[in-house]
Order: sequence, then structure tokens, then C-alpha cells
Amino acid sequence: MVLNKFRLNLKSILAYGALIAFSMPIFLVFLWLVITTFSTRTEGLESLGWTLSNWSFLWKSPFGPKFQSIWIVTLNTFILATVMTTIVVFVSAMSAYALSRMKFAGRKGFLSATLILHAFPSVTLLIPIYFVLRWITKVPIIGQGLPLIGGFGFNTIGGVALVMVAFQLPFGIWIMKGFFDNISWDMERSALIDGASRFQVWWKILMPNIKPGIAALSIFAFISAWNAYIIPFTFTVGRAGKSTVLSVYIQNFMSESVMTEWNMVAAVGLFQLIPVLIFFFFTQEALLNIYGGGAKGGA
Amino acid sequence: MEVRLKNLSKHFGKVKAVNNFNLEINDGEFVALLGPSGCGKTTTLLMIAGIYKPTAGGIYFGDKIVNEVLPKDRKIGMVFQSYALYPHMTAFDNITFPLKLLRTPKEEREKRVNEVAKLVQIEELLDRKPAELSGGQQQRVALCRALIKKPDILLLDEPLSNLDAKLRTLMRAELKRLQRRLGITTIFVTHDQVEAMTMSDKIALLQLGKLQQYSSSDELYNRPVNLFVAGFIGSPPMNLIDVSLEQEEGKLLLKNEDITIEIPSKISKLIQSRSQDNKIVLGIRPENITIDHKRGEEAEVYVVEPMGMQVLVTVKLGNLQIKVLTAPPFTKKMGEEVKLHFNVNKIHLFDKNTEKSLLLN
Ligand SMILES: Nc1ncnc2c1ncn2[C@@H]1O[C@H](COP(=O)(O)OP(=O)(O)OP(=O)(O)O)[C@@H](O)[C@H]1O
Ligand SMILES: [Mg+2]
Repeated sequence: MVLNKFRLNLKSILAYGALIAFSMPIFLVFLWLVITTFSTRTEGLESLGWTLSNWSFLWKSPFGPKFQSIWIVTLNTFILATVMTTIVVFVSAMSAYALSRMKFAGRKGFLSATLILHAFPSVTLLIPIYFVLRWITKVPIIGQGLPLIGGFGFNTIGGVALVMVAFQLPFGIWIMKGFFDNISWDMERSALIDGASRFQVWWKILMPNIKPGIAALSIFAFISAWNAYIIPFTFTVGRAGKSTVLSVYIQNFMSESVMTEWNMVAAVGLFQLIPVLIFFFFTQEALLNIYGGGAKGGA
Repeated sequence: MEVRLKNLSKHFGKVKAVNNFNLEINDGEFVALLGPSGCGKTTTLLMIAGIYKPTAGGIYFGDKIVNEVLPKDRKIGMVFQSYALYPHMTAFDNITFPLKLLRTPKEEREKRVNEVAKLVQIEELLDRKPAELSGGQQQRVALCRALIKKPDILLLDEPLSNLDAKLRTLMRAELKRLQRRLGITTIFVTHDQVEAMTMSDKIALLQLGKLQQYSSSDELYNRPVNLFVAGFIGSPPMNLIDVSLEQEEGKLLLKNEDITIEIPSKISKLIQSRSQDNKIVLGIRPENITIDHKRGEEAEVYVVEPMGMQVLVTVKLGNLQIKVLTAPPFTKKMGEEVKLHFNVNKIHLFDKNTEKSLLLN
């Protein structure tokens, strides 16, 4: 007994030891980041003077009054991430349902096309997309006249979201298709006999049973939108523009004429990270559920 | 509601899952679709439900052809082999789902649930989710969901196959009583012949997508129309022996190198008029052979299997192995000699080539 217990302990000590050793570098980097944001200067992990001035961007624009406040920028980022996530989840779920359940011409080709699209380097498409967005801008209302998101044209949050949705969809469709494939046909047939329409089957029966998939895709989509840089940077105008998002905002610190304030960059970076952490905290259970066997019961 | 299938076919690419199926089911009848795995039972049921479109042929409810009617408009209830309960809903919500879709008022829904729940005694389980129910309870919830719309036709796809032996016997009787009480036309799919024989008014026996025989269980057991039916129905199965008809010293004999059975001239005339090349399969059920008779064919005991009420004895007759059912006690041991008597009035004869019965029309 005693021996057994001891061996078990030794095993877990080894396991934890290995895990700690491997996570240490990552942890130290984060620790360094946090210390930096509250210091005037640092030497390694050692602060050479504590200060709050790096966080002054929270109440006063560091670049002068003609720049957006950080809160507006954060709101923009939030709207962008939410809009993009919502569209990605809905469109992915609907097309994945069709790909998983319906027979139609070109289904196979479509599936392999989405895989290829997923691997396609998005940077190469920036110029054609620019022209598409310019064109959308000319469409009345939808182009530039919508509240909150601005519209779906060039230099609007909606436009940026639209482009990012397009890049995210192949991935989303594949994830969701996997989840739909795992749901038995019988459940769906049963619902059809019970009197549901195809759409009701999708919405009332299948969607609630792939919640872990929806959660996973939402988290991936949200985080990638929150951290996106190239696309918002390319399709919004001016660093002080009204559609600026956080990642682009950080760029303002890097100009040729003034010395870059790295400690403040670190602070804004950490600020950008906080919502992601909060988001993760609330959704981790759903994420873990993916490996816990998806839909339970129902034999 | 009467159900008629007319030349019904369903092909999946090259696979003919259901092939030219004709069936008539009267109002209130309990019919079993019986057959080995993969013979097209589920496919047939799903066509009746409207989930699959027939490749050819028609499905009639009463006088109306329903080929183009949507599943939800067919007034059917169905229980799937997997039960197909919705895991995210409680038993109550599962059962009321069809009513909810019809926008039935809440009080009405509750009243109806209590009615059907009482029928199968699951009143206390209504607030549980499917994962918290046993297999038998899930099955009853599924049955309630199928019944709540007061369907004209009830379709059951192997509803008992996931239950343990004891519960299966219990539910068999319960289901039969329920069907009689409600008088719903019911089509019941199973690959278990005992289930089919005990529960249904009529059995449709299928093989490879084709209907083999459609009759009462009694008829199916005593008057099989072909070799497949003869071999499928009955447990232990019928003995099937290759023989030919011969005439010796004025006697009419069915014989091969191991066995000789004398038959009346009435039977031999039938054989002579129907058999092409005198290749015949003799079928006789284990209970129609008597053992240890004073005269008869000599055979050697191969193995003895007591089954409680009866003893199943396998004997060797030359190269043939024959199964015999006899009443206990059976005292002979392995290797000892016995005499067999075949009850000639109970034999079945089939043409070896066409596999059709030679005695029936
Ligand atoms: N959707 C489908 N696509 C292709 N072939 C199918 C499909 N459904 C059934 N089949 C084939 O049709 C035949 C009949 O299938 P079916 O499910 O009706 O058999 P079953 O009698 O219900 O068998 P079991 O007792 O195993 O449930 C099988 O050979 C099966 O492989
Ligand atoms: Mg089946």
C-alpha cells in the first residue's frame, strides 16, 4: 500500500515537474510583460522604478486629441470580433449542415475547395479585395451608411469583418461539418416525422446538440478577429481613423520621428490581452467539453 | 388506416434494398416485417414514413397515394431502433415536441402527455433527460413521442432489440396489449422471429429486398412456400435433406445414400407433376421426428442438449446430421444407437433448383 502510494506520488511529481519545466519560459515571458508595463525601465525581470504612467493611455490619448480614445478603439475591436464571430458561426453551421446532410452536385468539389482555400495565403488577395470593397462602398446604405459597424464597404468595421469572415469560413465549415457528421440521422428523421421543417430540424434539434462545436468555433473566430492585424490595417484608413482597432492602434507607437515607448506598447498589448483572458475563462468548460464526447445520451 | 405497398422498390446505386414489394395491411392490424440483417426492413419503413422516396412503385394509405406527402403530413408515429430521443430536452419536452410544432396550447400538451405517460407508466420520469434514463425507459419515452399525435399508423423499427432478454419479453407483451387497446395499424420491424410470431397478426418475411411470404405466423411455420422460409422460421431450424424420388418394389421412396423414407402416392404424384429433374429437398422439423421408436432408420447419437422443457438431440445418419426434439428424460449417451421415425404427414418438399415448395400451390 505504502509503496504503491509512494510510486503514484513519484509519478505525479515527475509529470508536474515536466509540465512546469516546459511552461516556465512562457510564464516568464508573461511575467516580464506585466513587470514592464508598471516600470520605467527593466533589466531582465527586475524593475528599475515602478510607475503607472505606462497606463496613462487609458484616460488620455498618448498621441494627442485628434486620435481616437482607447475606449472607442476597444469598442471597435469588440464590434468587429462580435460581428465576425456571429456571421462565421451562422454561415459555417448552415453550410456545414448542407454539406453533411444533403446530396447535391459539386458537394465533393466544394469540400476539397474549402480545404484548399483554408491553406491559401490571404496576403496575396489583399489588392483584389481592396477593389471589391471600394465597389461595395458605392452601394447605398450597405456600403457606408450603417450604424455601429459603419457598413460593409472600404474603411468600415463591417467591411473588415466581411473580409475576415471570408478567410475564416473554410476552417469554420470544416469544424462544424465534423460535429454534424457525428449526429445520428435517426434524430433528424425523427424530428421530420414529428413535424419539423428542415430549418426547424437544424435550429431546434441539431444546433443545441453541437453546442461544444459552436463554442469552439466562436472562441477561435473571436480571438482571431480580436488579434487580427493585416486585414484591419489594410482596409481602414489612417491610424487615427474612426474604424481603428487595437492591433492597428499599437502601430501608432512606432514612427520614425519619435523614440518608441516600448513600455507603453507592452501596456497596450497587455490591455488587448485582458478581454481574451476573460473570454477564455468563461468558455473553457465548453472548450473542454469537445473532448468529453460532444452530445451525450440518446444511445 | 389501411396501408398498401404496390411494386415498391428502392435502389441505392446498384444495391436493390427493396425490390418489387407488394403488401396489404388492414386497418388495425399488427404486421411484422421480418428478415435477416440488411434485407431492407428499415428501408421499407423509412419509405412508408416518407423519409426515403421510392425508386418505383406506390405507397397507399387508404385509397390515397402518399408518395409525395411529407413525413409530417402522413399522420404516422415512429420509434427508431436507436430511439433517437433529443438529448438536450427532458422526457417531457421530447414527448411534446410534435405538439409544440403544431402550436398546441400548453394545458392541452400537459393533458396529452399525462395520458400517454400513464399508458406506459413513465409519469415520474418526465423531467429527466434521456441520458438519465435506462434503455427501457428511453424506449417508452420514444413510444410516447410516437403516440402523442394520435397517429393513424405506428411504425416501430426494432424497438426491443436494445433491451435485455427479460425486459424484452415484458415489453413484447406490453406493446401487444397497447396496440390492441389503441387499435392503431402497426408495422413492426424485427429480425427476431420469436418477436414477430408472438406479437403480430401477420408476418411479412423478406430476404434481399424481396418478399418471401406474407401470412400468419401459424401458416408461416406450417406451410412455408420456399426453402428460405422453411430454413428461417423455427428454432431449432428445420432439417433440410437432399433426396430424390424413387420407386422400389412398388413402394414410393424419397431417398439418398443415407436415408430412405416411404411416402404416400398422393405426395409422389405432386412431385412427379412439379419437379423437373427429380432433385428434391426434404424438410422436416425436429419435433416431427420421433426417437427410439421400435422400427425406423438407425442412427448414432452425436450430441445431446437438454433445454428444460425438451431435449435437442443431434444424431448422425451416415454423413447427415439431423436435429430431433424429444421429451425428457432422454437417457441415451453420445455414440449410442437410436432409431428414428419420420412423421410423413409433416414433411415439406422443395424443388432444389427453384427452391419453391412442391406441396403448396
Ligand atoms: N442510405 C443508404 N445508402 C446506400 N445503401 C443503403 C442505404 N440504406 C440502406 N442501404 C443498403 O440497403 C440494404 C437494406 O438496408 P436496411 O437498412 O433496410 O436493412 P435492414 O433490413 O433494416 O437491416 P438491419 O436488420 O441490419 O437493420 C442494405 O444492403 C444496406 O446496405
Ligand atoms: Mg434496420
